[in-house]
Amino acid sequence: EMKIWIKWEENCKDWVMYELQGALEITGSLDGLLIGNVVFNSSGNPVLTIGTNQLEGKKVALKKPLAVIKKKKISDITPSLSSSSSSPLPSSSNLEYDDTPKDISPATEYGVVGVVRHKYEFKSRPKPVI
Amino acid sequence: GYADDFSTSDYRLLEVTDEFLLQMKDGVTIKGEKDEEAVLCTSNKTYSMKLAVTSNALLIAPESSVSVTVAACLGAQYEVAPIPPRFLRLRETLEESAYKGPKQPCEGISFETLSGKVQASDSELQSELVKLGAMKRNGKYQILSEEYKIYILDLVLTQAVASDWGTNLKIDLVAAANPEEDEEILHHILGLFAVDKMSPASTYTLDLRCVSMFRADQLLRDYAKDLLLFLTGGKTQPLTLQNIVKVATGGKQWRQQDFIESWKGHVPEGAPTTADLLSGIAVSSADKSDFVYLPAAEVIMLVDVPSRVRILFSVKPKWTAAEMEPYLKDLITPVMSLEQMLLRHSRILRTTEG
Repeated sequence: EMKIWIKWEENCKDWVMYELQGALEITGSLDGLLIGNVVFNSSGNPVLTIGTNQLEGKKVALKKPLAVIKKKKISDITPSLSSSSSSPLPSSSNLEYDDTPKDISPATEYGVVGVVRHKYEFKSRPKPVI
Repeated sequence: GYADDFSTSDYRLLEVTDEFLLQMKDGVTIKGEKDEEAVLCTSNKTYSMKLAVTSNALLIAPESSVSVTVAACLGAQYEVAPIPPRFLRLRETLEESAYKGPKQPCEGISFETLSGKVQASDSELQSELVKLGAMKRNGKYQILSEEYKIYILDLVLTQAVASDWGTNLKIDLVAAANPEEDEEILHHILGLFAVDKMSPASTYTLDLRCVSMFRADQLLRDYAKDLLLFLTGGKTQPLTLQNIVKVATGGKQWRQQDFIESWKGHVPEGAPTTADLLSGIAVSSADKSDFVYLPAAEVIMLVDVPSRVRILFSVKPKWTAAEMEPYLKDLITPVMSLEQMLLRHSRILRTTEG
């Protein structure tokens, strides 16, 4: 039986998306990268700074919202059969995975952490190298 | 299965609607075994999750007026669209644990277990269990095997004639005439064939249309099984959809007059035996002289319109919309009518008609 829950997180908020045309050449991990400010220039367009590159783009409203879901760490999952709880347990009351009885062992779970309603589209020339 | 989008990130993007976002506040589930395409379920609806890959880089970050910290760089998002629930696994699971009689103890399945196995929302699952005539015993769900239903119906109808019960069956009399059977089960079966489908009750008024349709299905299925046995040279094979089509196109079908005569002999006096009752059970052959067994219950296990239309046209080349309706009606939505469905797949229609 495979049932993976996606639960709404209480701290769910607005997220934004930056769409860069073409693949990025990434030399390191992009996750957690501090990009810096998105500033708006005199034409009202967003300017994104990545490394030493500055890219000019435009803000586009999404036709359909995107839900951002994040896989939860085992220690964040409430081990219960009911769907009532949606917020993660504070770490001091964690159940260690190995000690958890089989019939209430946590499975994979996702939380809705954000909703994206608009994106910034950037056509990048030349390709930024990170 | 789910997790095969090759992303190493903990984040995923789901393209949804504002209505769906509201549903997400109550929690939704992803369901599917390794060999199945995953579906998303709210409390009352089922959705497909299709991965749409892009050649662009999608950087996502919480909105901030100060600085932007990228949480993930993704190359795909899941597109979510409403679909009909998938009940093939439900039928298979229930058939495995069907009640076959008082001497063959068999336990049913809990709703929780079914909910985990079946790619449908809990509401849709509940409705389907009612539609399949499942009983709830000791908190578990179970269907009655076809053979057992036929066995009891045969007994009860014969007793009704012999004892002059008419069509209003008193449970006391039925139970007394069948002491070996579980009375709770008798209640359930009579309820399936009664006008007022409520059980338990003290009297069950037979729904003669319902009895007629059950008998038609029984007779036509037996005919198909015999024909299949003949076509396989005596080797017993299950009556799968594939074999149903094989029989429909491979052998001598039942002449309409002959079938109706046999049918009349298997139903109570006064029960209707008109062709309209065969909707969803059989269709007229191309030359309109025979009836061909084609149960909608089997055909609708195929989840998309093209697959079903292909099956229908492999049975005969020309169909009216009315004939096709029972095999497609569960796929009708507010944005896709039967006419639109047929128009969209008219290329198949034209090709087969030549």
